[in-house]
Order: sequence, then C-alpha cells, then structure tokens
Amino acid sequence: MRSSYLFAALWGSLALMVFSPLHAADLSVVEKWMATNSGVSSVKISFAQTRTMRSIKVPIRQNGTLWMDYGRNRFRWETGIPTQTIVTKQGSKLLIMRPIGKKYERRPFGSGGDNQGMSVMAGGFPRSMSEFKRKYRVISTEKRNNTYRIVTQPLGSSGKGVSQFTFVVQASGYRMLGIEIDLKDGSSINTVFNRVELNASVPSSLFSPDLTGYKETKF
Amino acid sequence: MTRIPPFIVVSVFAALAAFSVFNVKFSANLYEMLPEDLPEVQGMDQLNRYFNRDGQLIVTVKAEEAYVVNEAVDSLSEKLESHPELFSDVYRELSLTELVTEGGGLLAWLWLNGPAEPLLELAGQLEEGSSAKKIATAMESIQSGFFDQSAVISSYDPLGFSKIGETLGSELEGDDAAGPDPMASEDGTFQVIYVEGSGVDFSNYREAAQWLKEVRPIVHQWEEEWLSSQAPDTFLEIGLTGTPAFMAEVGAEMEKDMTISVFATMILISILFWVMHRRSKPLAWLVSSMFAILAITLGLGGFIFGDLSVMSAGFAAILMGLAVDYGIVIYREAMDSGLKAPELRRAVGPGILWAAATTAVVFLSLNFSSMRGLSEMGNLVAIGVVIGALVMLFFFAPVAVLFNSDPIERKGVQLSGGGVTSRFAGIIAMAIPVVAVASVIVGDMPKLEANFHPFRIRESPSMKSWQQLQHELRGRENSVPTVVTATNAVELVENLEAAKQHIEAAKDKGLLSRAVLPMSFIPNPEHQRENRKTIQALSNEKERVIAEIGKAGFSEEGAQLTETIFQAWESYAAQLEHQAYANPEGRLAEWSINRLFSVKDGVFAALATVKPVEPLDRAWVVEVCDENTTVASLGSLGTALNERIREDLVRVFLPMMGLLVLMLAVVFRSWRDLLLSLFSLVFVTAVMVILTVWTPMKWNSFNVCGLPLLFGTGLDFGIHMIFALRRCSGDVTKARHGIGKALVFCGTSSAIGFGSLATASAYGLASLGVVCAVGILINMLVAVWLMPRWYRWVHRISN
Repeated sequence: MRSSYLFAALWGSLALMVFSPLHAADLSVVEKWMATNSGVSSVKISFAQTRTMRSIKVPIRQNGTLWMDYGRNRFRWETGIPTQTIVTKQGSKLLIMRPIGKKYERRPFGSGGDNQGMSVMAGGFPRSMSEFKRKYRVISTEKRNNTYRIVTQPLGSSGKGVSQFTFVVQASGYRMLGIEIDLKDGSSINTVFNRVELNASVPSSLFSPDLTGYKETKF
Repeated sequence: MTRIPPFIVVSVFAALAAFSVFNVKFSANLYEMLPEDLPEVQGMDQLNRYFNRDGQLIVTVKAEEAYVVNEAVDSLSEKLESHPELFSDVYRELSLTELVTEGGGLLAWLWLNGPAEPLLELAGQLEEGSSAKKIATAMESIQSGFFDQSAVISSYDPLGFSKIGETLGSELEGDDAAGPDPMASEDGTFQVIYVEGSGVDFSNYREAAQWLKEVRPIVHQWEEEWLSSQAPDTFLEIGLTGTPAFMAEVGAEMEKDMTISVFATMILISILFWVMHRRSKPLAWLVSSMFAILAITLGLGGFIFGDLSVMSAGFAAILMGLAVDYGIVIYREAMDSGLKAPELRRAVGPGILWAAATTAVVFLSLNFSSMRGLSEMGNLVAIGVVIGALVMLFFFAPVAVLFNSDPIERKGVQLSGGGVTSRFAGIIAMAIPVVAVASVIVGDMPKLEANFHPFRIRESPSMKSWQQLQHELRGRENSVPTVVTATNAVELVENLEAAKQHIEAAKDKGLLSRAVLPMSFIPNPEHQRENRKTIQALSNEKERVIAEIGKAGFSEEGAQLTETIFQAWESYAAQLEHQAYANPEGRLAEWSINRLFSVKDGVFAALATVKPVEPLDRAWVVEVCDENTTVASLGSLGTALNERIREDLVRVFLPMMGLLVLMLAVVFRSWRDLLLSLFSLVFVTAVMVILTVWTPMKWNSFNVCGLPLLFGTGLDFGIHMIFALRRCSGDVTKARHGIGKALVFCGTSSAIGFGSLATASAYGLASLGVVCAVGILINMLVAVWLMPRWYRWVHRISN
C-alpha cells in the first residue's frame, strides 16, 4: 500500500516536471530585455530570414537589412544581394519597390496587407515594459542554451493570422537575437539577427528612395 | 350553485382561461401590425420573407482581446457542432486555409457571373506561355517581397483569381470598394457565429423557445468551463440573437403580458369590489364570468383573426376592465330589486346591450387608424364587450339573483364631496386651461416622439446583442437593408440597375453617405450565357496550369485553390446546359450568395444596403424606393408613422368630434348642458397637456390613438352625470351617491384594466395603457366631483 502511494507521488512529480512550462510567463526576462532598449532612438539590423510555407515546396531564405527610426516612426526594409525588394514606411504610407523590373507600389500602412506578424517588425520592437504589455501577451519564457525564448501572442490586429510570436534574446546581455513567427496556416518565419547596431545613423534619404525610372504597379 | 366553494368556481374558470391563453397563436412578426403601404413596412416584410432564416441563431462573442475571441469562437463552434440534434450547421469566420479549400466555388462563380471582358482578360493570362510567367512572377514576389498578407494569399493563389474584387470593384459594391466583414469587428475583439438550428419548426415561436431553452444551457455550460480554463480576470460576453431568439422572446413576452395584465386586473377589480360591496361569493362568480368572457373571446378571436399580434395581448386587460361594469350593474339591480333572472334581464338588458354596442363602436372606430395592430386590438375588445354583455346577462345574472335572498348590508365606502366647493370648482375651471396654455408657452408644445417604435420590446437581451452586432461590425450602424424584387433573374438585374440609379441620385443629393449593391452576387443570366464558352475553353487548360504551378515550386496546397476553381467551372458549364443560370456550389459560396439573393414563391429578391445621412428623415426613402425597391428602415418608420397618425387624426378624429357634438346637441337639447359637456372635454385635455409638459408622460404614434377612447369615456361619464343631476334637480350629494358611486367603480375598473398594461413589454402598449388609465381617472374625477358644481353654476342654481 505504502509503495503504491510512493509510486503515485513519484509519477505525479515527474508529470509536473514534464508538463509545467519552465519559468512560465517570467516577466523578469522581459524587463531585463526592455532595459537594454531604453534610450534607443534608432536601430540597424542585418538579418537572415527563413520562410517555411505550406504552399511552397522548399523553404525560402533571404538576407536583408532593417533600419528603424523610432523618433520619426519610419523604417526601411531591404532584402537580397543585389537588392530585390525595398519597403519603406513613413507615417501612414508604405512604399514597396522592386529594383529588378523597376516597379513600385504605394499602399496605406494598415490596409490589411501588412499583418501576419510583420507589422510587428515594421512598427518597431517594444522599448518599454508598458509598451510591451500593451502589444503582447506572454505565454511563457523559456531558457534554451544561451538564449531566452519569450513566447507571446500579439494583441490587437497584429495578432491576426499569427498563432505565436517568439522573441529570442541573449541569456547574458539580454540583447535581441531574432524572432520566430508561427502562422495559423502552419507556415512559419524565422528571422535571425546577425548584427544589431543601436542608435545607428539613419539619414532621411534612406526612407525616401529615389523613384526615378520606376513604374507604379500593384504587386 | 351558491353552495360550491368560491375557490373551486374561480379555479375551474381560471383554468379554462389559462387553457385559452396558452392555445392562442401569437404572431411574432411585428411589421404585420403597421400600415402596409409604407415602403419601410414593405421592406421589413420582404426582408423577413426572403432573407430571414427562421432557424438561424446568431451567437455573438465579445472579449477584450482578439486572440481570446478567436480561441473562444473555435471552442464554442466545436461545442455547438457536437450537438447535431440541435444544429445542422455552424458558420464562423474562416481561416485562410479554410478560405483556400472552400472559396474556389465562390470565386469561380463570381468570374462566370461577371462581365465578359475581365474573364477574357483572365483567359488571356491563362494561355500557354502567359500562365507560367504569371506563376513565376507570383513566386518571385513571395520569395523576395515583404512578407505580408498579400504574399501569403499569392502563395495559395499564384494566378490571382482572388483579385476579382479589384477587377469588379466598382460594380461589386457601388462606390464603396470594401464592404464590412460580416463576421468580425475590425479590431477582432468581436465575432459572430451563425448557427442553423434543426429539429423543430422555427416558424412556431413556442417550438423556437423550447429549442432555445435547450441551447442556452449548452452555451452557458461551455462558457463556465471555458472561462475556468482561462486567466481569472478574462472577460467574455456571449449574446444570442437572430430570428429564433427574437421570436422566442416576443412570443414569451406576449404570453407574459397577457397573463400578468389579466391577473393584475382581476385582483385589483376584486379588491375594488370587496371595498365597495364586501361579499365574497358573488365576487367569485363575477371573476369566473370574466374568465369565461376571456376564454370565449380568445377562442372566437383566434378563429376570426388567426394569429394574434403583440398588441392584442393588451386587449384582455382592457376587456376585463369594461366587462366587469355590466356584472356590477346586474349585481346592484339584483340586490336592490329582488327580481328573478328573466325579469332582471328585461330590466337591465337593454341598457347593458346598448352600452356594449356603444363601447364596441368606439373600439371599432380604431379600424380607421392606419395601425393594423391597433385595429386588431380594437376589434377584439369590441367582440369581447358584446360577449361580455351576453355572458353577464345569461350566465352571471341567474347566479346573481340567488344572492338577493340574503339582503346586503349597506357596507363599503360612501363618496364624500372631497372638499370640492363651488368656489374651488370655479377657480380650477379657469386655472387649469390657463396653466395649460402657459405650460405650452414656457415648456414645450406636446408633440409625437420622433424616434418611437411602438412594437419595440423593452429589456430585450436579443435586441441588445443585435445592437451590439450593428455597432461592432464596421459600417453596420445605421445601415438600412434595401430589398429589390422582380419576377425573374433577368428582370432582377434590370431592377438592381434602376435601384443603383436611384441610390446614386440620392448620394448626389447628399441624402446617403454609403451604399453597397450586391451586383456581382446576383445571378446574371446574360453574363453567364456570354461567359459559358470561355469557362468551357478554360476547363481544358486545367491539367497544364496545375502542372505549371507545381513546376514553379508551389506545393499541393498552393495549387488547391486553382484546382477547385477549374473543377467548379466544369460543373457550372454543365449546369448552364439546362439552366438559365448556374447556382454557386460549395458551402461558402451558397452561404455568401444566399445572404444576398433569394427566390421564394416566384419572387426573385436581392439585398442591398444604404446608409442615410439623416436616418430619421424620409427624403432619402422617397428618393430610393419605387415599386420594386423597398427599405427596412426603423429610423424613418417612426417619422412615417407620426406623419400617418397626424393624417389619421385629421381624417378620423375631427369628423368624429363634429358628429359627437351633433349627437350631444340631440341628446341634451340644451345649449347649457352641451357647453358643459364640451367644456369638461377641454378641461380634461388641458390636464393632459399639463401632464405631458411637466411629467415623463409623452405622446407617440401609438398612444395618441387612445384619444378617441378617452373622449368617448369622458362624454359617456358626463352624460350619465348630467342626466342624474337633471333627475335630482342639481342635488350634488344625491347625484354623487347614486351615479357617482357607479362612475367611480366603472372608471377605476377601466383604469385598472388599462393601467395593468403599463408593465407590458411593447413600448407602444405600455404607453397606451398609461395614457388611457390616467385619462379615464381624470374623466372620472371631473365627472363625479367637478361637473356637479359646474352644472349648478351653468344652470344658475343657488344654494
């Protein structure tokens, strides 16, 4: 009788160890990460992105650079070598350019085509705890190797079509290393930050690319 | 008979009345009570007939965050689907994957149903050589582009079939390219689930109510379980609305109104009888007689009119208040005279029958009103009072005479003068009209409430959920469903074009801010015939195009939508061999088209939406509506009803007043009594004006129809009092103790009957009850306490 109780207790504790998320919703990690962002007015990120889509046979990989100017609410996103696509946002306008083919499209930001989690990148990463809490619900935080994985659910319209949004930050310095977006249709986007430059120089010309010779179209 | 215990007598007849109430078929269709020639009423009728699904329940889900709503809707939909005995289908906002698997049939149909040019252009893009290029461009855009929703859509739709909205944009929705999402709010914190009920006849509100009774615990239990699995402060609000919820609610409220008002009237009248006569056995038989009257009238009313409306629920209480008066006359006469039943009938019968006939005529005059609901109520009361007179004469009278062997003591209240002196009566006669005029100058001229809906149910949870739905779904607020009808599909397209012209003109005049016309969602036989060859030719390209998609790097999922579209075209081409137009295939296509297009009883109907700048105004209704186009506008309906009632008052009320003055002149043959009678009406009107200006009591298109009833009772009471005063040479005390006591009983019992409607669910009925109860009480007070003093003054009778 006693041994069966012992056996049950052992199974119970084992089950707890297996099924309880480690450090569930531990916001101290987020607080430390946010602390690294205070005073940041601009950022330049060199990234490598892998898109695994249900509708495409092989994953798509691309390298690119993202510039963000928090002060003036604008960004520039560029991929490919040579550059294949440039996306800039100034205020409420989004400009999409394809240097190969010399075509561009203007569309209002937030017109329904910029969700699926990418608006999180376009809108800039949170820089304070209050901003973070306003935009994300933390599902769990988990330490894996030398990183913390902050698994969240974006709130509001950014969460449309997204099942999970994971921030990956350094375990030691709490700098952001990348993001992983899992979409509801089973697709995913994994972005690894190769180099992050805080308070980088962001000249205005970056956000107002020259459209000479470009033709307007609808992509 | 007198030995039967009173409670047994009452119980037997109450059971009979209750059986009759619960066997009445109430109609929950509120528009059936309104003037049928108004385009707003026709619009509501057509909307209900062609587009409302009796069994479609709408479940609304509201939370503070979109993800909570998504998770809740997923879980609730699953729960509902696990009850096939109650639900045949559950529709919720589709995910992208579901849209891909289910949207092919709809897209294929929209291309087929649209004009030939865009389809020919698409066919050109699908030709060998062109299609591969288009697919490659899509792949390049997905690989190198900004990863947004359009990239995800392109990955499932590399040939851009879903861009049909851009191609047909202007035709699809008039000038408004993007229609509101019918399933979710813009911020995602509100979603709706459409549930098709099964297992019962939803046209019967009692069955719908029973079905809903089984549904509510399921939803409630799910809500409790789901919330217990969430964070403690999670907010979630579930609402049930749609036709079954409305029907169950309206039906239940009507039964409740009738039961409560009848029982309240019975109890109050019994108390009044006890106070005035202090006898329990005759009271039991009197109450039983009233239950019998109610049972017979309900049976006869149901036989003559079929389903009774929400307004008719109020007739029973009014009838009780009126019919009891005949019983009282019989009882008093039996007690005072000691006559046997046949002699008693001969003595009081003619008076009672004439009184019943006069009351019936007053209530029948409500047929001149444009309100069909009010006419029906008037007819029921008219039938009821005649039945009431007969029941009292032939059922109650034989019982009443059995009590006259037991002489009654002179118990009960005796009326006093109430401190009303000649001086007081004179001052008040001058002061009240002056105060009324001053109130109108200082306050506000009494007018009909502008935004009044007589049949709106108070405290309606399903109406609250419906209003929340209108508020949350972008662009729905103040949007008015517009129904276009025709006798065939070709004519419907033509009528829609004509409606479009009217709507454009209204927009140009600044009367409408927005309009959504479902042109592309309505079968267009001409377009489909023209496009048939193109889709047949395209069907032959299916294998090649699918192979090209696979070759470009798209997976099977990436080719699925294209494959479904080609399959649907094959099927539509086959349908067109035998039919004038192809019907959309697939669950999503059928659901989407059936919301906007309907064929029933040989009528083809399309549903558009317009958004008036001034919803209460009627100028836009006149501009948009014609013999084929109607609007289901509640906003302008209030204005239309007010206009109609004003016309009714001029057309019916003024001639009626002229006739009454003539009748009074003949009855009194005395200009002094005629003047006195008319002045009492002016006095009562002045009191009502003061009350309207300084109390919450307001006039509306429904209760204003009670004016003829008030004037009728006012004149009636006045005639009785003036003749009594003539008989006793102006002796105020004598008249008050004789006819005065009878008038107090009749006035109070009628006021109780009307007043019991104050708690009715329908605003119109409740306001009618309050106004009539107040008016009758004022009539009674004036006739019993003021008129005798004025009579003496007019006839210069000194003390």
